Amino acid sequence: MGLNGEDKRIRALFCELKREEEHASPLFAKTWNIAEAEFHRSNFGRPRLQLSSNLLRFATAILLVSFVSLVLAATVLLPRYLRPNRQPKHDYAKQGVAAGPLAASEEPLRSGKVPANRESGKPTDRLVAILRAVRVKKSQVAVAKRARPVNQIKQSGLSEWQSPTAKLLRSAGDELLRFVPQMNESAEEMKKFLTNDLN
Amino acid sequence: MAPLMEISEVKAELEKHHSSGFGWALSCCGRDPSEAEEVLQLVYLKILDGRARYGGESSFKTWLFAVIRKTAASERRKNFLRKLILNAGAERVPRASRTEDPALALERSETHARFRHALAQLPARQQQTLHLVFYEDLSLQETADTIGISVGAVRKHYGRAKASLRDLLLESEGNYGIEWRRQKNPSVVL
Repeated sequence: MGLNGEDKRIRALFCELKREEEHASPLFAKTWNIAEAEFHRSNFGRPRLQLSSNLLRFATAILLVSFVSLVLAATVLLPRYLRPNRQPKHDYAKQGVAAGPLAASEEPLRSGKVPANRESGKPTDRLVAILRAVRVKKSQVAVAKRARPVNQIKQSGLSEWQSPTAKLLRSAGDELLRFVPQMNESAEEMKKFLTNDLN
Repeated sequence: MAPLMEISEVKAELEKHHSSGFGWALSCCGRDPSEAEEVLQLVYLKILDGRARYGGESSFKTWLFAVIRKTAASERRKNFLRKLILNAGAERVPRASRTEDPALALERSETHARFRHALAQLPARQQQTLHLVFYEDLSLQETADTIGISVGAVRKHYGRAKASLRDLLLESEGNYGIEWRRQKNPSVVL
């Protein structure tokens, strides 16, 4: 009930507001005529508007074309221009292996030039050469490691094989245990010593 | 889709809904009569040059009110930007509320002035909901179609708006009582 009473009160207030605003509302004919006049005026002015819209389209098309050409130039032509003497990729590997990573890396530093592709975020030619040389070296070492035990076994044979833990069994007194002691050996040594001393 | 109406038919319908359209435009324009009239002219212009076409999906009144709401919103945006550009750097003078104008306050009854003031303090969506329900006698569904939101959202706005309006009216009535007593007896301390 309270809510209904509240609704009624709000409705009454809105009714009063409506009554007041209806008095203040402009005449339909006046508003319509103004809108119609504006419509006719804009219709007469339409050719000029169309001309300006055509001009706008033309300008937009030109801007678009220039933007596309700029993008093309930046992505395709500019890198080519900045790197005219770039060598093929297989040459870097050969250079890197032949001259070594150090020699390959020294050349651009001495010349003082900044490689063109450094700015574009790509690895430099020198770096590529070093990486390739390192890769080749690594593969060679790996191949050598794999091949070594087989060759050694073939060359030396089983007779020379030593246990990997043999070193652990060695001690300082090993020499005394390798031969049998002779009878009166120490007495003979003593005689030698004494005769030398007496002379 | 219903066939498009002839311009004479549209004109007749517009004439029928002109005063309620003006009231709705007032509600969308913060109760500014000149701005509301301008919005209404723009709406008629849109209808004349075919930018706004009635397709028969809803009632003519709902469609007209939706066009008025959108036009008013775009006009308010434009005016806001215009003011922002023109008054950049200049000292901004706060716009006096219509209810604070003493000449207008004299014209209206105190209760009505308080109601206007309370209504102006509500958020725009709540104002619009109350206007469509109580001023235009639209259903919640029609209100939702006009504002362009769901019925659930309209129901929420409707409930909140009524509660806020009641609180604001009670507050203003209390203040009015204090003011009245102060005028009667200036020595009283409240």
